Amino acid sequence: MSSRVSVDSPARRWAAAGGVAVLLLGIWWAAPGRRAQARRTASGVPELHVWSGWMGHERDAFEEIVAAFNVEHPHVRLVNTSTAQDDSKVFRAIVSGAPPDVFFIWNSEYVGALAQHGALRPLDDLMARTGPLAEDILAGGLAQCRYEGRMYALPYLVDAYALFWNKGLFREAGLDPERPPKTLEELLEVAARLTVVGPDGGLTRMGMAPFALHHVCALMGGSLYDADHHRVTADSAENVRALEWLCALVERQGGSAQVDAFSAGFGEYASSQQEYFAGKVAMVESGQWWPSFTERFAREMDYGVCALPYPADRPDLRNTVPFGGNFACIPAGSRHPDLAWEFLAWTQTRVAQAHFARVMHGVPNLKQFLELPELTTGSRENEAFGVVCSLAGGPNGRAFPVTPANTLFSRELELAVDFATHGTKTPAQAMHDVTVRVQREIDQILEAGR
Amino acid sequence: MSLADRRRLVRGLLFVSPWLVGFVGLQLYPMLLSLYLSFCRYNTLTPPRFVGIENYRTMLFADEYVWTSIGNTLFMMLELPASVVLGIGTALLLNRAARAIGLFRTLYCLPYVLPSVSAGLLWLWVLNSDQGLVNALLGLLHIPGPSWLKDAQWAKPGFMLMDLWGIGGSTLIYLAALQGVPQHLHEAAELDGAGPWARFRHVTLPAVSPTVFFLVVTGALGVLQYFAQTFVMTKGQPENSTLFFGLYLFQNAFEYFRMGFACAMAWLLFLVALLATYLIFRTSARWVYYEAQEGAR
Repeated sequence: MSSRVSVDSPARRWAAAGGVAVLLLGIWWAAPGRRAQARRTASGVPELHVWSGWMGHERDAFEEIVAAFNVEHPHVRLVNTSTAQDDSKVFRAIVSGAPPDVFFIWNSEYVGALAQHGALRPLDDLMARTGPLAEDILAGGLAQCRYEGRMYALPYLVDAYALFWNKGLFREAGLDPERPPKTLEELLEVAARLTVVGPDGGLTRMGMAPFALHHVCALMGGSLYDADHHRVTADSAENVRALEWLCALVERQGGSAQVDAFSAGFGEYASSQQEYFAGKVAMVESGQWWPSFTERFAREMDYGVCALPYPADRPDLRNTVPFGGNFACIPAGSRHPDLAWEFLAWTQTRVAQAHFARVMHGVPNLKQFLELPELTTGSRENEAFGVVCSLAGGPNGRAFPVTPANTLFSRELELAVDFATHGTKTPAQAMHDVTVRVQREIDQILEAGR
Repeated sequence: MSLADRRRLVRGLLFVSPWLVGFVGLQLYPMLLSLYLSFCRYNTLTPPRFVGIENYRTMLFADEYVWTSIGNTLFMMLELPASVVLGIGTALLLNRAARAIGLFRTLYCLPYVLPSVSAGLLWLWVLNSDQGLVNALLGLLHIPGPSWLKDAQWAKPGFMLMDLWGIGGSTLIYLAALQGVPQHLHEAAELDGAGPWARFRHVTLPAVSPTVFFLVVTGALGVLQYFAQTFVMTKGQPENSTLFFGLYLFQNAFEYFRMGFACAMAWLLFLVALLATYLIFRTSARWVYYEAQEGAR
């Protein structure tokens, strides 16, 4: 005889109801809103959640900063969570109503879009309360934080770009190793002389690898965007000239087919196989972290660092420095904006700037800390770092403009380089197409925001 | 409906409720929501705003990259006939009773088990114009290899080469189909004087045609959704030559804050996939042979 239990038995019903209750309880417990509210330590100190993208040893370095802040600020506990360099995690958190209190944006191209759509808290009132003063921040860093006249981000160290050259390869090519190219025209000549063609007709060395178009635009004095009139100006004469110069750089080193084939063999960026460290490229445009990389990956290299060249007919553009950097934002839904600002203001102190700059090899973003002796003296690496820092403090700092469509903008610029260097479009046509496409997008975004 | 029937219905629904909840919550609702969002301007950060057919109009008439991506995706359809020929050919070879055939079958199927992202990263090196395996082999034949993934003319053929390398999955299914071809049909044809080609053409091919049909349908849908490889390897470059529809959809949704537009693209993709499947089904009566159907006539 089978002992069947009715599905309607009270025991089963209770078991089913219990199961559903446990499930619902689990969902409630995991709900972002509930978790967001429970942000206090056992001792009642509020927890301040910062999300950052640093990984590996950089994350460790930032954790040291977090620990230092916590020691100095016992009334709050700062907790770092890594976004693994994926900004979309922050976007999803903002949309779901459970954002961090403060976050470092990995890709600064998103600042304009987030600000435009009201996802960021403006920082002007907080800055006015405690500082830092806008005029104390390096111009190239400040430019990346402002959108529509308001501050939406604060830099915590910036990246500044310069020219690094391998003196040994200069000697091999019969060039004066102490005389790097001063003008962009001169750079083309020097790059051609440093380029070496192997017996099979392929390149075995390049004078200089092509670098980001918007950096060349900055060197040419071009502006990509007129923020006052919301006009994309990628097709201005200076910017077209910048793309023409990049095409010439490729042509002078054998043309796009040769350069493509040769650059396909470049090694990993942060390694001794990187093309410059491996001696495959004689000059490189890079940032202030390069001296540290050189010590790690090519300790024996005899090298120099100087400002990027300028157009011969525009000496006023001497010492132009393209900027990047790390930027912190407070999301509109931050539960502790004042505490978040307390942390951000603290990142602008001498101790926080110097410590992070030392381990992260970033340029302090405040003018008064550019010449800290512990950062800029005592070793070849520090002195080269100091050269970049002093360039960063000059008047010609330039940055990618903040627009609500920067991801599209930068991708379009990459495409323009691709089309122009391969001869599919003329530089003028390529830049015109960038202008049309990005302008259309910005118009639509601004129209929708009205 | 009697009370007992109603109770049975409720019980039945309760039994299938895990699937029902999953289907409604994770498939039907997102699909319907994406249909609604395709008629909205939606940037994911602010509430959607209804704009009628604007996204569809922009997609079809104002955004040239949509057509570029459609052209690139359709070009990849060329790999379908190649994969059928190569898949059946390989399966025929692997269907022979040779020594260590199990080892060969395993080797041919190995690339198939590799995730497409890993395969993409691997093929970045295989197709490397300076140090890659493909160009090294071409070099042995004194053929100068192209800059595969940096040359707009060669990037898509490079992707095809990679996909054909991974046809082990199809080969496995063709192999199973070949082993299901009734031996007596081969013997009868042989007695009638049919040679190897005639036996393949008139016995083997009709017998495996339902498998070809299945793999063509799934292959076409796979090509329409082509994404992971290009996302990992080229991000649409060079010169937009690998900007496939799926990649452009992703860029709009998650990089350009144009979720409404991306939803419209997703619905176009859905309709095209539906149409492609329908057309393949319609033509199947002419070239797909079902033994049971034939017997019933």
